[in-house]
Formats: sequence, C-alpha cells, structure tokens
Amino acid sequence: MISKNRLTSSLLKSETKSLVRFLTLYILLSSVVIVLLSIFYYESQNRLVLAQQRTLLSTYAHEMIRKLKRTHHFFEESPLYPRDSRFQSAIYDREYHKIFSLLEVTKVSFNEEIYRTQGKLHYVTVLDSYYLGAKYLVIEIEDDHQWIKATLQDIVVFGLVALIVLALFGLYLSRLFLTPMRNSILLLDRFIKDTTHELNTPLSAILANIELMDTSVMVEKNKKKLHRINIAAKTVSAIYKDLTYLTLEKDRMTNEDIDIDVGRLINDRVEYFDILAQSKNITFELQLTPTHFRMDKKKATRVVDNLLSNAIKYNRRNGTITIMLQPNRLEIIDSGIGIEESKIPYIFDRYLRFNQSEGGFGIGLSIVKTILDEYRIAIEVHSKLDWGTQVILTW
Amino acid sequence: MKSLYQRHYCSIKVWIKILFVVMLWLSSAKAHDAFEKHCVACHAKLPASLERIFFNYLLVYSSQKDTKEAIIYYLKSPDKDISLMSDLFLDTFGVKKATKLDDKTLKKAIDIYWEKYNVMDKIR
Repeated sequence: MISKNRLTSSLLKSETKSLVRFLTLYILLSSVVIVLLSIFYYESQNRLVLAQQRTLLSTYAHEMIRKLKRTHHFFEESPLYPRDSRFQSAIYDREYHKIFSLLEVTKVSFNEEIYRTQGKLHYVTVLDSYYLGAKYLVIEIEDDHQWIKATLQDIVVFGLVALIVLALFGLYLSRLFLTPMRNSILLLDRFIKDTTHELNTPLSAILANIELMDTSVMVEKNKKKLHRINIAAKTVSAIYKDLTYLTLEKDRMTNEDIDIDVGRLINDRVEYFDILAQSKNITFELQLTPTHFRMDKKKATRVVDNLLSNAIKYNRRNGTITIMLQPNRLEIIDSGIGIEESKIPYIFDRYLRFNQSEGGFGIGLSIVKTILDEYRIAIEVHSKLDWGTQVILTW
Repeated sequence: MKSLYQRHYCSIKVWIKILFVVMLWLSSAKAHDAFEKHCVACHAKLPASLERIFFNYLLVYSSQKDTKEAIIYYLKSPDKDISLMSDLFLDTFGVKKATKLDDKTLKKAIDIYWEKYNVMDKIR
C-alpha cells in the first residue's frame, strides 16, 4: 500500500521538468493542429461565401451578355457601353486587351473564375459569341467583409476552447504517464520510513553502551576498536536523524522556534563530529562571531549537521574545514574533492548523489534546502573540482 | 559661319525628309485608294455593309490580330465554307474572287478597315 505524505505529494524537480517538457511539446503540436484546422475552416468559409456570390454574379453576367449582344447589333445607332448600378464591368478581347472597362480595380486575373482583390470581388466569364469582340466579361462588386469578422471570431473562440481542453487533457495524460515514476518514489519513501522505525532501538542501544563503556580499563587495541565503532555509530546516527526528519519530523506542522546561539550550536556540532573528522585527520578552523537566530533547534541542528557531515565526508585526508560565522552570514569551506559546476544546480535534489564512493541516501542537502527555504535563509554553493566547496548561508 | 559643305549637307537632309513624308503620304494614299477602290466600291453595291461584315468578324475572331488575319486569308482564298455571310447572301451574290492586291497594300487596306470600324475607340 502506498501512502502519500506532504513531501511526496509535491512534484519532484525532475518530475516537473518532464511534465513541463511534455506539456510544452503537446501544446505546441496541438496549436499547430488548431492553426491548420483554422486555416482549413477559413478557406472553407471563403469558398462557401464565394459560391454564394458566384450565383449572383453569374446572373449579373448573363444580363450583361444580353445587353452586350444588343449593343453589338445596334452599335452604329448607339455605341454606348451597357451600365448597371449594382456592379461594374469590363470586356477584354481574346488576347486580353481591354476593349472597355468601368472597373475600379483594373488588374484582372483571367485564370480564376471568381476572386477577391483590393476589397472587390471579380467574376470572370468567357463569352461564347464575342459581342463587340469581347471574349472575357469581368463583373466587379464590393467585397463584403462581415463574414471575415464572423469567421475570425469563431476561430478565436473555438480555438481557445479547444486549446484549453487539449491542455487539460495533456495535463491528465502527463500525470498518468508520470504515475509509475511517482509510485517508485513513494515506495522508496515508504521503505525508508519502515527502515527508520526498525533502526531506532538498536542504534540507541549501541550509542548508549559506547558512552557507558569504561575505556580506562581497556587495552589500546580494544580502545581503537571502540573508537571505530563510535565513528560508525555516529555516522549511522546522522543518517538516522535525517531519515527521521524526512519521514516523521517533516510532517510536524508547528515549529518550536527558540533563540539559538548559533556559535554555540556550531561548537557543539563540531565537537560531535570531531571524532569523524579525526578519522580523516581533518582540522577545523573556527572564526565564530557571537550570533543569535530564532529557529527550531532540531531543524537548525539538521542544517549544521548535514553541512558539516558533507564537509567531512567529501574532504580529503589531512584537509581543513573553515567555519566563519558573522552576523547574518555563515560560511563553511572545505578543502575536498569539489563538485562539477554543471551539477551544482542539482545538488538539492532528493536521492541525488554525485559521489557513489561515499555512503548516504542523497537526502541531506534536500533537507537543508527545505529547512532554509522555510526560514527564508539563502544558500549559495561555490565549488571547484579538487579545490573544495564553499557553502554560504545568509539571512 | 557655316561652311559651304555644311549648308549643302543641311539642305540634303531637309530634302530627304520631305521625300520621306511624300513617299509616306503616297503610300498611304495608295492604300487608301486600294481600300476605297477595291473594298468600298464593290461593297457599296451589296446589301451587307462593310460595318456589318466587320462586326461579323469581330463576333467570331475577337482580337485585332485574329480578325485582320482572318479577313486577309478570306480575301486571298475566298471560300463559301469559311465565309461569315449567310447562306442566302452567298446564294444570291456568290463568293467573291480572290484579291489581286499585293500583300503590303492589302495589309494597309485592312488596317484602314480596322481603324474605321474598330469598337475600342468608339464605345463610350
């Protein structure tokens, strides 16, 4: 059974990226289809209107031919070109030479029967008998633009509705496609949650017993072994705390904010991690200006622990960790392996680990970012391969 | 001061021009004569006027080029089958004889015929 919590119900970065990419492509293709359909609709409306006008213009042409016939036969008595108030007309001979024209738009396309030109509608008809030598009769009327307005309005309204419907459908589809990915993450979360519960009791027992052990009576060989057990237990403890925070504490709605002496907190945590640092012969350089900040102590501890843990984990042997605390600013600089610049934007993604040689679940920095965002603390990461990493928090 | 040669040269040019105009006028007059003598004179005796025949050609051939070519062809090779006149007319007056006019004169006469009756300049 997969249950959702506040953390997992929100989209992951990679999930959002896939969703955005899919939706962009989908909407783009949908838009192309809609545009093509709009063009097709516009053309069909255009043809429909022209077909309606063709009937009227054909009637005008027949009337005109009849009048031309009369003029042809009585040209000597009355050489007057027939006129009509409803339309303008022109006649052209077999070689397209103008015989007479009343057209307002004189440019005529003889290849088309009916067409629009400069706000006019032209209808070209071929005469069977060339009255007055005319083979082509052109009828011209005003083009009615009302249909264009109505058609464009239809295209905009229906196009937008179609786009919205398609976008919603696309969103539904994309969520459907992303469900397997989401389920995998939920399964992983569920697994971590269950594991965390099982870790609590044995880990507490190990740590308590290490503290209770009397090292003064131990031989040097056993002391070293106990020391190693202590380091391992603290490492597991740090992971355990992260997992606890992620699975249990994160869902806690209220914070217990208190005034924290940041310098003191850092000192405590450095002391806690000192045994880990010693194992790699790492030295701490602390420059701590007394600073206070109002925050939930557990969350502040998680932030400092994760940053220190990373600085130790990814540091080289005999390296240094410099911690500089100023009012409104905390810098943690390690002399470690560094991170590729291209990967820096992704370091806060959950389950993302750039160095597989070190242990962990890839959740530490994700937790740090979530907590810092909650308290509006900005984080900057500067890193260079084989030089180290500088983490700057400002508030 | 113009030299003697230059003065002679100018007067020759003037004479050539005059000669050219005279020849042109003579040629035109000849063509006009041909139209009047060989076309108008005969058709005056017929009931079908030259204008009506012109409109018959226009009705079939439409353009200036085709009309002129059709008239010239008929005048050179008259045939009942290609005549545009009615059967009654042809039965009564028969088919005309082939023209004996040279091509140049015939062409000019037909140009005059076209100019005299063409619709483009007269319709209003």
